Amino acid sequence: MRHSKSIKRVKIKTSGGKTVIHFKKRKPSYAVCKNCGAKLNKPKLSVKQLKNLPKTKKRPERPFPELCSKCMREYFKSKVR
Amino acid sequence: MLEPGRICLKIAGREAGKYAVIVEKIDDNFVLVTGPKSITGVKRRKCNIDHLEPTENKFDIDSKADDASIENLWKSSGLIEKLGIKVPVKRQFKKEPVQKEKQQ
Repeated sequence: MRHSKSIKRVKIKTSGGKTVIHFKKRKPSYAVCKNCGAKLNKPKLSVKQLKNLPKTKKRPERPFPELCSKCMREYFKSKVR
Repeated sequence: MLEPGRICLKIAGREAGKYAVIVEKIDDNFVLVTGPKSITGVKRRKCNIDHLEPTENKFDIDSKADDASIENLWKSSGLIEKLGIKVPVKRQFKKEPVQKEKQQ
């Protein structure tokens, strides 16, 4: 996994005169609505960094935090109609 | 549709999914809304019309009705069981610790 082709590589000149390939670290992906796939306003951080954040900065206060607000509204509208 | 006494479902914000009763109309976009908080969990507040979804049920209330009268209407109408509202139970504080007599 570490040396797979999908990971970005950089050629770097070392002080000894050699050129070496360095493998860049992967970035965490965006949080996405589970129904429509829209981008959510959640922090784009690794799991380890998320541990230090307070609970209110990791998810919205409303119900169904894994859905976007539009999908949540349509769910509640369908419940009444 | 959104006249005083109408029962609505809030669909935006932290109170989404909770029922509320319209008390009066403020202007074209806003209404005054109350749960009351002791039954559905929505406090007395101004609310945008776009954030409400009206239901078929309605109460007959006076203009500027207070929370206590609406609370009685909820209990007498039997809508709490029909709509499946979970009424929050008031937290019971622990009894004061009994002072033990010192053994001499």
